[in-house]
Amino acid sequence: MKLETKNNIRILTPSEGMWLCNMTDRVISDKVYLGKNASETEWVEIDDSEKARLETLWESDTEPSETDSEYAEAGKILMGVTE
Amino acid sequence: MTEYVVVDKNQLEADLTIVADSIRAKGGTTEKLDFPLGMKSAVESIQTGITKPEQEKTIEITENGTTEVTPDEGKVLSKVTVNTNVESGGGSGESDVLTLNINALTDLFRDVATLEYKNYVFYTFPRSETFNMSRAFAGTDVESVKIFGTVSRTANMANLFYSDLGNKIRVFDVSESMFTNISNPGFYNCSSLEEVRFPRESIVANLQLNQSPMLSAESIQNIIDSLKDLTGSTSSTIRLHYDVKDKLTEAQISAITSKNWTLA
Repeated sequence: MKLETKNNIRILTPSEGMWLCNMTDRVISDKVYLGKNASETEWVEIDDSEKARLETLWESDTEPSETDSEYAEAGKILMGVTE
Repeated sequence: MTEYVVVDKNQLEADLTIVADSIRAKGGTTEKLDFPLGMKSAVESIQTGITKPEQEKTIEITENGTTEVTPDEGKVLSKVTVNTNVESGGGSGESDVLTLNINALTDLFRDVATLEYKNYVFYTFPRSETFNMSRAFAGTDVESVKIFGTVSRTANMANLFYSDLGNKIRVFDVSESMFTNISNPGFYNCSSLEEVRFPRESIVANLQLNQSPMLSAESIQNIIDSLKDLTGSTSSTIRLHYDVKDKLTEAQISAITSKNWTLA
Protein backbone atom coordinates (compact mmCIF):
# COMPACT_ATOMS: atom_id res chain seq x y z
CA MET A 1 0.00 0.00 0.00
CA LYS A 2 1.41 3.36 -1.00
CA LEU A 3 0.56 6.81 0.29
CA GLU A 4 1.60 9.82 -1.75
CA THR A 5 0.70 13.48 -1.73
CA LYS A 6 0.07 15.51 -4.86
CA ASN A 7 -0.97 19.13 -4.64
CA ASN A 8 -2.07 18.66 -1.03
CA ILE A 9 -4.21 15.67 -1.94
CA ARG A 10 -3.25 12.43 -0.18
CA ILE A 11 -3.65 9.42 -2.45
CA LEU A 12 -3.65 5.84 -1.23
CA THR A 13 -3.06 3.05 -3.73
CA PRO A 14 -2.87 -0.69 -3.09
CA SER A 15 -0.15 -3.04 -4.15
CA GLU A 16 -0.49 -4.67 -7.54
CA GLY A 17 -3.44 -7.06 -7.69
CA MET A 18 -4.82 -5.92 -4.36
CA TRP A 19 -7.68 -3.70 -3.17
CA LEU A 20 -8.13 -1.14 -0.44
CA CYS A 21 -10.78 -1.90 2.16
CA ASN A 22 -12.37 0.15 4.94
CA MET A 23 -14.16 -2.33 7.18
CA THR A 24 -15.94 0.34 9.20
CA ASP A 25 -17.53 2.05 6.22
CA ARG A 26 -17.75 -1.19 4.21
CA VAL A 27 -15.96 0.29 1.23
CA ILE A 28 -13.65 -1.43 -1.24
CA SER A 29 -11.74 0.61 -3.79
CA ASP A 30 -8.77 0.58 -6.14
CA LYS A 31 -7.68 4.09 -5.22
CA VAL A 32 -8.57 6.37 -2.35
CA TYR A 33 -8.22 10.11 -1.96
CA LEU A 34 -8.12 10.71 1.77
CA GLY A 35 -10.10 13.45 3.48
CA LYS A 36 -7.82 16.04 5.02
CA ASN A 37 -8.27 14.66 8.54
CA ALA A 38 -8.79 11.02 7.57
CA SER A 39 -6.26 8.43 8.55
CA GLU A 40 -4.76 5.97 6.10
CA THR A 41 -4.82 3.40 8.92
CA GLU A 42 -8.57 2.99 8.33
CA TRP A 43 -7.66 1.19 5.11
CA VAL A 44 -6.23 -2.28 4.68
CA GLU A 45 -5.23 -4.26 1.62
CA ILE A 46 -7.30 -7.27 0.58
CA ASP A 47 -7.09 -9.68 -2.34
CA ASP A 48 -9.71 -10.67 -4.91
CA SER A 49 -11.16 -13.55 -2.94
CA GLU A 50 -11.55 -11.50 0.22
CA LYS A 51 -13.09 -8.72 -1.85
CA ALA A 52 -15.68 -11.13 -3.27
CA ARG A 53 -16.44 -12.55 0.17
CA LEU A 54 -16.94 -9.17 1.76
CA GLU A 55 -19.06 -7.83 -1.10
CA THR A 56 -21.38 -10.81 -0.83
CA LEU A 57 -21.57 -10.46 2.92
CA TRP A 58 -22.25 -6.74 2.83
CA GLU A 59 -24.78 -7.08 0.05
CA SER A 60 -26.87 -9.50 2.05
CA ASP A 61 -26.79 -7.10 4.96
CA THR A 62 -27.86 -4.23 2.73
CA GLU A 63 -31.14 -5.82 1.64
CA PRO A 64 -34.03 -4.06 3.34
CA SER A 65 -35.75 -6.00 6.05
CA GLU A 66 -39.47 -6.59 6.22
CA THR A 67 -41.42 -3.89 7.86
CA ASP A 68 -44.92 -3.18 9.02
CA SER A 69 -44.72 0.37 7.82
CA GLU A 70 -48.10 2.01 7.96
CA TYR A 71 -47.38 3.68 4.65
CA ALA A 72 -46.80 0.51 2.64
CA GLU A 73 -50.51 -0.24 2.40
CA ALA A 74 -51.28 3.37 1.59
CA GLY A 75 -48.93 3.22 -1.35
CA LYS A 76 -50.51 0.06 -2.69
CA ILE A 77 -53.96 1.57 -2.39
CA LEU A 78 -52.76 4.58 -4.36
CA MET A 79 -51.46 2.31 -7.06
CA GLY A 80 -54.54 0.12 -7.17
CA VAL A 81 -52.55 -2.93 -6.16
CA THR A 82 -55.03 -5.48 -4.90
CA GLU A 83 -52.74 -8.30 -3.88
CA MET B 1 -101.08 31.86 -91.18
CA THR B 2 -100.24 29.21 -88.55
CA GLU B 3 -97.52 26.75 -89.43
CA TYR B 4 -97.57 23.19 -88.15
CA VAL B 5 -94.61 20.93 -87.49
CA VAL B 6 -94.93 17.16 -87.53
CA VAL B 7 -93.02 15.49 -84.71
CA ASP B 8 -92.83 12.07 -83.20
CA LYS B 9 -95.16 12.32 -80.18
CA ASN B 10 -93.36 9.67 -78.15
CA GLN B 11 -89.98 11.19 -78.82
CA LEU B 12 -91.29 14.63 -77.90
CA GLU B 13 -92.68 13.36 -74.61
CA ALA B 14 -89.42 11.59 -73.85
CA ASP B 15 -87.43 14.74 -74.56
CA LEU B 16 -89.69 16.87 -72.39
CA THR B 17 -89.38 14.34 -69.57
CA ILE B 18 -85.61 14.62 -69.72
CA VAL B 19 -85.85 18.38 -69.38
CA ALA B 20 -88.45 18.15 -66.61
CA ASP B 21 -86.40 15.62 -64.67
CA SER B 22 -83.40 17.92 -64.86
CA ILE B 23 -85.43 20.87 -63.62
CA ARG B 24 -86.94 18.83 -60.80
CA ALA B 25 -83.51 17.58 -59.66
CA LYS B 26 -82.06 21.05 -59.62
CA GLY B 27 -85.02 22.52 -57.88
CA GLY B 28 -85.37 19.78 -55.34
CA THR B 29 -88.96 18.98 -56.23
CA THR B 30 -90.89 15.97 -57.46
CA GLU B 31 -93.92 17.84 -58.82
CA LYS B 32 -95.27 17.22 -62.26
CA LEU B 33 -94.19 20.04 -64.52
CA ASP B 34 -96.31 20.91 -67.44
CA PHE B 35 -94.82 22.46 -70.54
CA PRO B 36 -94.09 25.30 -70.85
CA LEU B 37 -95.44 27.28 -67.91
CA GLY B 38 -94.80 24.70 -65.22
CA MET B 39 -91.24 24.28 -66.34
CA LYS B 40 -90.74 27.99 -66.64
CA SER B 41 -91.96 28.57 -63.13
CA ALA B 42 -89.83 25.75 -61.76
CA VAL B 43 -86.71 27.08 -63.47
CA GLU B 44 -87.32 30.55 -62.13
CA SER B 45 -87.70 29.12 -58.62
CA ILE B 46 -84.30 27.48 -58.64
CA GLN B 47 -82.04 29.42 -56.25
CA THR B 48 -78.42 29.70 -57.25
CA GLY B 49 -75.62 29.94 -54.72
CA ILE B 50 -77.84 28.37 -52.07
CA THR B 51 -76.09 28.02 -48.68
CA LYS B 52 -76.97 25.10 -46.50
CA PRO B 53 -77.67 25.90 -42.87
CA GLU B 54 -74.53 26.01 -40.75
CA GLN B 55 -73.95 23.69 -37.87
CA GLU B 56 -71.44 23.65 -35.01
CA LYS B 57 -70.41 20.41 -33.42
CA THR B 58 -68.47 19.53 -30.26
CA ILE B 59 -66.74 16.19 -29.86
CA GLU B 60 -64.76 14.56 -27.07
CA ILE B 61 -61.66 12.50 -27.73
CA THR B 62 -61.10 9.85 -25.05
CA GLU B 63 -58.63 7.57 -26.73
CA ASN B 64 -56.14 7.45 -29.55
CA GLY B 65 -57.51 6.78 -33.04
CA THR B 66 -59.41 8.52 -35.85
CA THR B 67 -62.60 10.42 -35.23
CA GLU B 68 -64.81 11.55 -38.14
CA VAL B 69 -66.92 14.62 -37.79
CA THR B 70 -69.75 14.93 -40.31
CA PRO B 71 -72.56 17.45 -40.47
CA ASP B 72 -76.20 16.44 -40.21
CA GLU B 73 -77.99 15.95 -43.53
CA GLY B 74 -78.61 19.16 -45.37
CA LYS B 75 -76.19 21.15 -43.21
CA VAL B 76 -72.59 22.28 -43.37
CA LEU B 77 -70.05 22.40 -40.58
CA SER B 78 -69.02 25.89 -39.63
CA LYS B 79 -67.13 25.05 -36.43
CA VAL B 80 -65.84 21.93 -34.70
CA THR B 81 -64.78 22.07 -31.04
CA VAL B 82 -62.58 19.20 -29.81
CA ASN B 83 -62.24 18.32 -26.12
CA THR B 84 -59.42 15.92 -25.35
CA ASN B 85 -59.80 13.68 -22.32
CA VAL B 86 -57.42 10.83 -22.95
CA GLU B 87 -56.70 8.93 -19.75
CA SER B 88 -53.00 8.73 -19.02
CA GLY B 89 -51.72 5.17 -18.91
CA GLY B 90 -48.41 5.99 -17.29
CA GLY B 91 -45.15 6.10 -19.09
CA SER B 92 -42.06 8.12 -18.78
CA GLY B 93 -43.13 11.39 -20.32
CA GLU B 94 -42.97 14.64 -18.40
CA SER B 95 -46.75 14.78 -18.35
CA ASP B 96 -47.08 11.57 -16.37
CA VAL B 97 -46.53 13.06 -12.97
CA LEU B 98 -48.28 12.11 -9.78
CA THR B 99 -48.15 14.85 -7.19
CA LEU B 100 -48.76 13.92 -3.60
CA ASN B 101 -48.99 15.92 -0.42
CA ILE B 102 -47.67 13.47 2.06
CA ASN B 103 -45.92 13.43 5.39
CA ALA B 104 -43.63 10.43 5.04
CA LEU B 105 -42.71 7.97 2.34
CA THR B 106 -41.45 4.95 4.24
CA ASP B 107 -42.11 1.82 2.18
CA LEU B 108 -44.67 3.79 0.21
CA PHE B 109 -44.40 1.96 -3.10
CA ARG B 110 -42.02 -0.73 -2.02
CA ASP B 111 -42.07 -3.79 -4.30
CA VAL B 112 -44.77 -2.41 -6.59
CA ALA B 113 -42.78 -3.63 -9.59
CA THR B 114 -44.74 -1.69 -12.22
CA LEU B 115 -45.86 1.74 -11.14
CA GLU B 116 -48.68 3.45 -12.99
CA TYR B 117 -46.77 6.70 -12.82
CA LYS B 118 -43.03 6.79 -13.34
CA ASN B 119 -42.39 10.36 -12.25
CA TYR B 120 -43.21 11.75 -8.80
CA VAL B 121 -43.26 15.18 -7.28
CA PHE B 122 -43.77 15.39 -3.53
CA TYR B 123 -44.87 18.41 -1.59
CA THR B 124 -44.31 17.23 1.91
CA PHE B 125 -45.87 18.11 5.24
CA PRO B 126 -43.91 16.02 7.71
CA ARG B 127 -44.98 15.43 11.26
CA SER B 128 -41.53 15.42 12.68
CA GLU B 129 -38.06 16.81 12.39
CA THR B 130 -37.02 13.68 10.49
CA PHE B 131 -38.60 12.92 7.16
CA ASN B 132 -38.50 9.22 6.56
CA MET B 133 -38.40 7.93 3.01
CA SER B 134 -36.50 4.72 3.51
CA ARG B 135 -37.33 1.98 1.00
CA ALA B 136 -40.04 4.20 -0.53
CA PHE B 137 -39.28 3.07 -4.06
CA ALA B 138 -37.38 -0.14 -3.39
CA GLY B 139 -38.18 -2.76 -6.00
CA THR B 140 -40.11 -0.37 -8.28
CA ASP B 141 -39.59 0.97 -11.79
CA VAL B 142 -39.79 4.64 -10.82
CA GLU B 143 -37.88 6.99 -13.12
CA SER B 144 -37.82 10.34 -11.38
CA VAL B 145 -38.49 11.68 -7.91
CA LYS B 146 -38.53 15.32 -6.88
CA ILE B 147 -39.24 16.62 -3.41
CA PHE B 148 -40.18 20.18 -2.59
CA GLY B 149 -40.84 22.25 0.44
CA THR B 150 -40.18 19.99 3.38
CA VAL B 151 -40.09 21.39 6.88
CA SER B 152 -37.88 18.57 8.10
CA ARG B 153 -34.20 19.11 8.19
CA THR B 154 -33.22 15.47 8.56
CA ALA B 155 -33.96 12.89 5.89
CA ASN B 156 -33.72 9.14 6.15
CA MET B 157 -33.13 7.83 2.63
CA ALA B 158 -31.82 4.36 3.45
CA ASN B 159 -32.44 1.85 0.66
CA LEU B 160 -34.62 4.38 -1.11
CA PHE B 161 -34.30 2.71 -4.51
CA TYR B 162 -32.99 -0.67 -3.41
CA SER B 163 -33.40 -3.37 -6.03
CA ASP B 164 -31.60 -6.67 -6.50
CA LEU B 165 -32.23 -6.54 -10.23
CA GLY B 166 -31.33 -2.91 -10.82
CA ASN B 167 -33.77 -0.05 -11.15
CA LYS B 168 -34.67 2.67 -13.64
CA ILE B 169 -34.34 5.81 -11.57
CA ARG B 170 -32.86 8.57 -13.72
CA VAL B 171 -33.57 11.74 -11.75
CA PHE B 172 -33.53 12.33 -8.02
CA ASP B 173 -33.93 15.96 -7.03
CA VAL B 174 -34.33 17.20 -3.48
CA SER B 175 -32.54 20.48 -4.07
CA GLU B 176 -35.71 22.46 -3.33
CA SER B 177 -36.26 20.72 -0.01
CA MET B 178 -35.16 22.06 3.36
CA PHE B 179 -32.98 19.08 4.14
CA THR B 180 -29.73 19.93 5.84
CA ASN B 181 -28.94 16.54 7.28
CA ILE B 182 -28.94 13.62 4.87
CA SER B 183 -27.03 10.48 5.67
CA ASN B 184 -26.61 7.22 3.83
CA PRO B 185 -28.84 8.05 0.87
CA GLY B 186 -29.62 4.73 -0.80
CA PHE B 187 -28.56 4.49 -4.43
CA TYR B 188 -27.88 0.77 -4.51
CA ASN B 189 -28.01 -0.58 -8.07
CA CYS B 190 -29.01 2.80 -9.53
CA SER B 191 -27.20 2.19 -12.80
CA SER B 192 -29.50 4.51 -14.79
CA LEU B 193 -29.12 7.48 -12.51
CA GLU B 194 -28.20 10.60 -14.48
CA GLU B 195 -29.32 13.59 -12.45
CA VAL B 196 -28.90 13.97 -8.73
CA ARG B 197 -29.57 17.20 -6.87
CA PHE B 198 -29.20 17.84 -3.16
CA PRO B 199 -29.34 21.07 -1.20
CA ARG B 200 -25.96 22.64 -0.70
CA GLU B 201 -23.92 21.05 2.13
CA SER B 202 -26.75 18.77 3.16
CA ILE B 203 -25.05 15.37 3.05
CA VAL B 204 -23.41 14.53 6.33
CA ALA B 205 -22.35 10.90 6.03
CA ASN B 206 -21.57 8.14 3.57
CA LEU B 207 -22.71 8.85 0.06
CA GLN B 208 -22.53 5.79 -2.19
CA LEU B 209 -22.95 6.34 -5.91
CA ASN B 210 -20.47 3.70 -7.03
CA GLN B 211 -23.08 1.89 -9.11
CA SER B 212 -24.09 4.98 -11.08
CA PRO B 213 -21.80 5.47 -14.07
CA MET B 214 -24.03 7.86 -16.00
CA LEU B 215 -24.09 10.88 -13.73
CA SER B 216 -24.08 14.16 -15.61
CA ALA B 217 -21.28 16.67 -15.13
CA GLU B 218 -23.75 19.04 -13.47
CA SER B 219 -24.81 16.35 -11.06
CA ILE B 220 -21.23 15.53 -10.16
CA GLN B 221 -20.58 19.15 -9.29
CA ASN B 222 -23.83 19.37 -7.35
CA ILE B 223 -22.83 16.29 -5.37
CA ILE B 224 -19.51 17.85 -4.46
CA ASP B 225 -21.26 21.04 -3.41
CA SER B 226 -23.76 19.07 -1.35
CA LEU B 227 -21.14 17.47 0.87
CA LYS B 228 -21.13 19.06 4.28
CA ASP B 229 -17.80 20.41 5.47
CA LEU B 230 -16.65 17.88 8.06
CA THR B 231 -13.54 19.74 9.09
CA GLY B 232 -13.03 19.11 12.78
CA SER B 233 -15.35 16.09 12.68
CA THR B 234 -14.86 12.48 11.75
CA SER B 235 -14.28 12.12 8.04
CA SER B 236 -16.84 10.32 5.92
CA THR B 237 -16.65 8.53 2.57
CA ILE B 238 -18.10 9.26 -0.82
CA ARG B 239 -18.02 6.44 -3.35
CA LEU B 240 -18.27 7.18 -7.04
CA HIS B 241 -18.29 4.84 -9.99
CA TYR B 242 -14.88 4.37 -11.62
CA ASP B 243 -16.04 6.13 -14.79
CA VAL B 244 -17.23 9.12 -12.79
CA LYS B 245 -14.15 9.22 -10.62
CA ASP B 246 -11.91 9.24 -13.70
CA LYS B 247 -13.68 12.37 -14.95
CA LEU B 248 -13.09 14.40 -11.82
CA THR B 249 -10.70 17.28 -12.12
CA GLU B 250 -7.98 17.83 -9.60
CA ALA B 251 -9.91 20.86 -8.36
CA GLN B 252 -12.98 18.71 -7.73
CA ILE B 253 -11.00 16.06 -5.89
CA SER B 254 -9.39 18.77 -3.82
CA ALA B 255 -12.82 20.26 -3.03
CA ILE B 256 -13.96 16.87 -1.75
CA THR B 257 -10.94 16.07 0.39
CA SER B 258 -10.61 19.58 1.78
CA LYS B 259 -14.09 19.12 3.31
CA ASN B 260 -12.69 16.06 5.06
CA TRP B 261 -14.44 13.59 2.80
CA THR B 262 -12.55 10.55 1.56
CA LEU B 263 -13.17 9.75 -2.09
CA ALA B 264 -13.15 6.03 -2.82
